[in-house]
Amino acid sequence: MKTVLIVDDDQHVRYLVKDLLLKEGFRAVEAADGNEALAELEKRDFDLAIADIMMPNLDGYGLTEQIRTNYDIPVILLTAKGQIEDKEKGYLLGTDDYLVKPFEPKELLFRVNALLRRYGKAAESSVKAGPLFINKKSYEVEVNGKTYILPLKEFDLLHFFASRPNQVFSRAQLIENVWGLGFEGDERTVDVHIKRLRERFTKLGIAVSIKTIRGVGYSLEVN
Amino acid sequence: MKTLYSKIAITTIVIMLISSLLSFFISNLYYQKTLKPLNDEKVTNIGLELVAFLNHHQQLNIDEYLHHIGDIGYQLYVTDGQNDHRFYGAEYRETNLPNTAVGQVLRGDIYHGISNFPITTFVTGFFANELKNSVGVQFEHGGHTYALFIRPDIKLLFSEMHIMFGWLLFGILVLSILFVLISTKYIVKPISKLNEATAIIADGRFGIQLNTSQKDEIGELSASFMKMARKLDKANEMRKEFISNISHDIQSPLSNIKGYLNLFKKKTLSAEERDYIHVVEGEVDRLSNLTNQLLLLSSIDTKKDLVNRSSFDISDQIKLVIKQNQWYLEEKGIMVSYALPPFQYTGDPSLLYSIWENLMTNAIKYSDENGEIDIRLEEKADSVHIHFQDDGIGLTNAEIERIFERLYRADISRNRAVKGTGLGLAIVQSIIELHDGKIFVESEKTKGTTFTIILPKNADL
Repeated sequence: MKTVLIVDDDQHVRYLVKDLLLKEGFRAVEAADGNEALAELEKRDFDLAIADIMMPNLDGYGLTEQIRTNYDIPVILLTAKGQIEDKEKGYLLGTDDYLVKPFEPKELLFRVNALLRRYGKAAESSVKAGPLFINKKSYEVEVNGKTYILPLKEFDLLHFFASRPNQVFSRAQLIENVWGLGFEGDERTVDVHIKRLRERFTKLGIAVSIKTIRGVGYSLEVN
Repeated sequence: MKTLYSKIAITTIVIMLISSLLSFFISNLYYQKTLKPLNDEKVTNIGLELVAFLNHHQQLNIDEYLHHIGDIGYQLYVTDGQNDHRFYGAEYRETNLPNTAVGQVLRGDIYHGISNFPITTFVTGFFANELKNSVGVQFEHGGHTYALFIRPDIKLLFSEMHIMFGWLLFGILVLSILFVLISTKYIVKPISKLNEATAIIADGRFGIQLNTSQKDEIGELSASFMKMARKLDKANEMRKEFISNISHDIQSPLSNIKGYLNLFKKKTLSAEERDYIHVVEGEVDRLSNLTNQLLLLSSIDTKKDLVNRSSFDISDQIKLVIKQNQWYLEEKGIMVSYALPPFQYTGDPSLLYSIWENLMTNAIKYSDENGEIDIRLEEKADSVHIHFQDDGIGLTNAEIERIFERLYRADISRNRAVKGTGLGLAIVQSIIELHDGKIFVESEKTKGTTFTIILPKNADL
């Protein structure tokens, strides 16, 4: 179970974020300002910190700086300060993400998950498939000097295929490896994602295609 | 060339020339009225002494004697009024005499050619080497009456002085013009510096440093100018802080309202109640957007020429915008492609950031599910082109004409479904105008829309 540190001087915000995270199966610890947060960080290990910027004593910028130098966990700044100067300052001090209030609860969860995914699997490698360079670290695909940001599952699917070129996978195998065992949808989902990837390849005129092997499944072919 | 420098220099030189002419004119007048008669009197005395000597020494060889006088610095003309004309000493440039002069002298009168020399505005006549510019006296020798005309040989006596005065005059003129040119430059320099400083401040950079050590009006001006710049800077900072704070103070409670509404959603609610919550949530979003954009608009409207310029990479900014919008892209299954080579630009970073933010949220808003957005930055010879292309619902020509109006929103029927304030593109256009850029829209209904922004390349400030 992942543990998240929530730092905000507004207890209502802390309550909201905590409630959200608990329902998603995280453990959450609250801190009312930067100094309290540092004290909590001393006490136990965290996987991620969500911090406000405007706080008494030690503010979010200072806290981010401290975490960057002393701890190896991702930081999300969750703040009502939405100006580029604030964002720039945040990123400059080493925050990994920046979310402006009012936020969509789903967006916060998406970002938390994205960051944990990236931090956990630094070992996972980037792959090349024909003209495609699939960068697992930045979740981007590079082709002919252009960069593509695919929807998450499409990217995961492409990365899975590209890591094992010309290998044939059944829909069930793909669901297990890309969507995970907890996935509740049906095999049609795989078909839909593959159809979209194919459409994108055709539009780009890339010499990579996903072949349907009748009665078995799919495989990625590099021409 | 209408610079202050040339104005001061030319005015001073003209004043110098005019005053030289005037002072010559006045001193000439003084010479004519006062000095010329004195000069005449002096020469007359010499002439009279000379003839007194001649009259007294009748045995003297006058040719030899007068030759001698000519050699020591006098120009002489002796005539008996008939055929005898004799010249001694340096030659006269002109041997002109009034017709009556010789007769008058032979009769015993004195001819005062020097004091009667015609008055001319800019000529003294002192140096006029003419026979009529002499003094005539009568003497007798060997029973004949002669007329003697005499004047000092100015050329012989004053030649060196003459040249020296020439050099003096020339030196005064040339050197004073030269010094005027140099000193004017020195006087004007701090004013030029101030002028440059105002241009820098107009550009929104307040950190100017001026030399205030000068102990005069210009030094004081520089000092108060810097004081003003610092106050402007402070006011500008305070304004920015105010905007930032007010936005924080409004967004924080909105954020909480939204969050707690969301907690409601998790409870078992009737469809009707769910609908109500959905409406309230939509309104909170709208209020939040509106606050942001109104603050931005007010800051643009008050800014006009007061843009905070600094140098930054446009491509990095756009990549940050993409990153910030990743969740919305994910929700709609949109693929983003981009070609963003590094491009250093000097402009207002926070204003330009809101351009990309607006174009990006528009592109996402009006894209279909699983659509595509393409962003390209192309560097041209003297400008940079940035394209935001989506394959969404597109616009009709009539809509294109109105999209930059404040509060106009395309596709009225979908108004409720698509959130927005109708301020976004008006803001984008104002910001682009502040940066002397242009924005173009190309669109086809159901095929998608491309926004192209052209910003002129600017010299790094």
